[in-house]
Amino acid sequence: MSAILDDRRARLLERAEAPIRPGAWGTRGKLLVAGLAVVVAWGIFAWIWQVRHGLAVTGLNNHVSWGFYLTNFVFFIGISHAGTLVSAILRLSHAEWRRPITRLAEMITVVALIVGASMVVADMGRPDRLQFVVLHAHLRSPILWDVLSISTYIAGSFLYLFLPLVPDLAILRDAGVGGKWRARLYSTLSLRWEGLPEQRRLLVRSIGIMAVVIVPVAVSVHTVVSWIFGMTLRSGWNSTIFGPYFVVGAIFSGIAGIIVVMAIFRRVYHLEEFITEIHFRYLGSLLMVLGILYAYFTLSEYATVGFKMEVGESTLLSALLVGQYAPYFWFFAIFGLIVPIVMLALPRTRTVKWIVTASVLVNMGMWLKRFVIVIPSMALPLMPYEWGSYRPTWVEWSITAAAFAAFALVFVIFARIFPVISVWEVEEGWEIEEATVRRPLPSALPSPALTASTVEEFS
Amino acid sequence: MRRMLAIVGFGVVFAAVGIVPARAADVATSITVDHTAVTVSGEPVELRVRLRDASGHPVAGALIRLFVPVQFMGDTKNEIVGEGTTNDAGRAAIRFAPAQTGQLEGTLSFWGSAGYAPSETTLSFDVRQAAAVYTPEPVGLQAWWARSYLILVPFAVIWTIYLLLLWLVTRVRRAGAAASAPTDIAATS
Repeated sequence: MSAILDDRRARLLERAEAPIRPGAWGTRGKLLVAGLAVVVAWGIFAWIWQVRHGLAVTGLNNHVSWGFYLTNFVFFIGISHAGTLVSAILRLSHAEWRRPITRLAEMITVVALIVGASMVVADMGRPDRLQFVVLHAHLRSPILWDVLSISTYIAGSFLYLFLPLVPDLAILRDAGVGGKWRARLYSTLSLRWEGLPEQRRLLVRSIGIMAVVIVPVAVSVHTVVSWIFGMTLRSGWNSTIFGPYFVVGAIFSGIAGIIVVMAIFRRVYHLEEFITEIHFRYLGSLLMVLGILYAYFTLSEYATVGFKMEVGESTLLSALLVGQYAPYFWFFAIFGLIVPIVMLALPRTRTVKWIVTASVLVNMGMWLKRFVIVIPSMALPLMPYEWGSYRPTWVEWSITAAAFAAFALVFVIFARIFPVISVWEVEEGWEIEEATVRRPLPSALPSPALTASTVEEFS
Repeated sequence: MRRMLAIVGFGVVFAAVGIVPARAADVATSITVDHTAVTVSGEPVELRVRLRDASGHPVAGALIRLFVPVQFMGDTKNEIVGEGTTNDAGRAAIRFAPAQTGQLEGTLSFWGSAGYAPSETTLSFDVRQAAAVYTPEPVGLQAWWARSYLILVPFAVIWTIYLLLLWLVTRVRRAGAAASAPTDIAATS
């Protein structure tokens, strides 16, 4: 290995281990964790309050029985998509630039899935009734399909996060980072990894299988989430394109989520050398393409509905475009879709700062999009009565705030224990890169003599 | 004078009584019914009702109501479940479908009309359980392969792959253990 590579490797290890070392958080870090923990604790208090007094303490009612909780559920499940799906697709397509960002993407998936699934428990009101999903399982119910696919996705995502972690855990084990319990944790989870060819072969094979399997599982998850709506005879949901519409929306918001998380970790943990502008540009391009696709689906969905103007659909469409829900819809359409696409398309705004800004807007817009998917369709009367109303109470606001805080908190704690960059994969990428550079290209180089001298120079 | 007044007063009263015709007593009526005593729950029953006066003449245009005891929210009340108006022959047909099973006591009631006194009669049915009160239409795609449990197949495949991967993970550990074993022995010796 060259001296340049050794030097880079040392810097990478130093950066990857820095957040894990004792005292790495500092005062600001501890304050952040304490602040997040307080918000989560307040959310837990609100949830206990809700369990004690019933769903009557929320804004949910017999018209609008899915409110913030289901909006959050769809949002977080959407965010979870990007991680594993993007990581798996980039891995399968041998996109070398993926290496420093796959760990963050995989972490997002696991954390978002846990937070998203907990929103369903909040919506149920009585958490003890969760057992009925299993005890009285109805195979014809899309809700059961959802439970099946999400649990399969959670298990797969844990596995997909764990497998590439093994060599890094061995590095931490050998480096003796952290105290006694961490040493034991790294020792147990690193599976006696020694970097043997046989171990490497098995691991690469496992990751390869997992990368193939996780793609259809991830697609199935958001398709089934969309079917909970699409298989209900309600205006606004009675759509055949909801499956792909939701999947594209999920990857769209998920990539935006990765970019935001990447920017935060890059800045806080000083990972600028490894997570470079090129990663933001590539993900920004992907985000733009998915934004255009999502805009196309949105237009297709509303144009067909708007052309036919069936009774219920026309009432709903009016409420969305010019009525009481118009501010939310147009915020999504303009600031969550059009503005980010323009920002990502223009060369002048294709910088880290603007790409992150576009991603934040996409996430805000996509949360609102989920809100206008869930709430107006429920509020629309099925018979000629008044519209249902929904006004979230402090309980729902608190639980929603706690969900986002929990997402950040679990992430921060995870990053305190495990490296946020896949060290061995980045190293492997450098080795491939170096080997490629060293390999003579007879067709491209003028003479064998010059080739030999060039190779020597790079050695 | 007193005598005169008494005569006039008597005369006025007498005249008044004489001017207002005495109301004739309403003609008594009777209901007869012809029906099937044994029926099946949910199936309609036709009651052929006849209303006649005391002389046996038919009473036309009379509304006959059928009451049966109906259970609702733990309470039993006589409710109108059918009615019919008699024709010129004093006949009416009343249809109803008993919902419950068992012995059912009903009442046919005529509430009276101009010149006809009210009357009623009771009747009883033995309502038996229907073989199938409601036969639902088969729901969903009628094909031998359209079975809901097939949804479990892809999940079973994926979970099998997960198990295979866990087995591969144990092989990673075993390979590491095998490689470090001689070193351990050397260290202990």
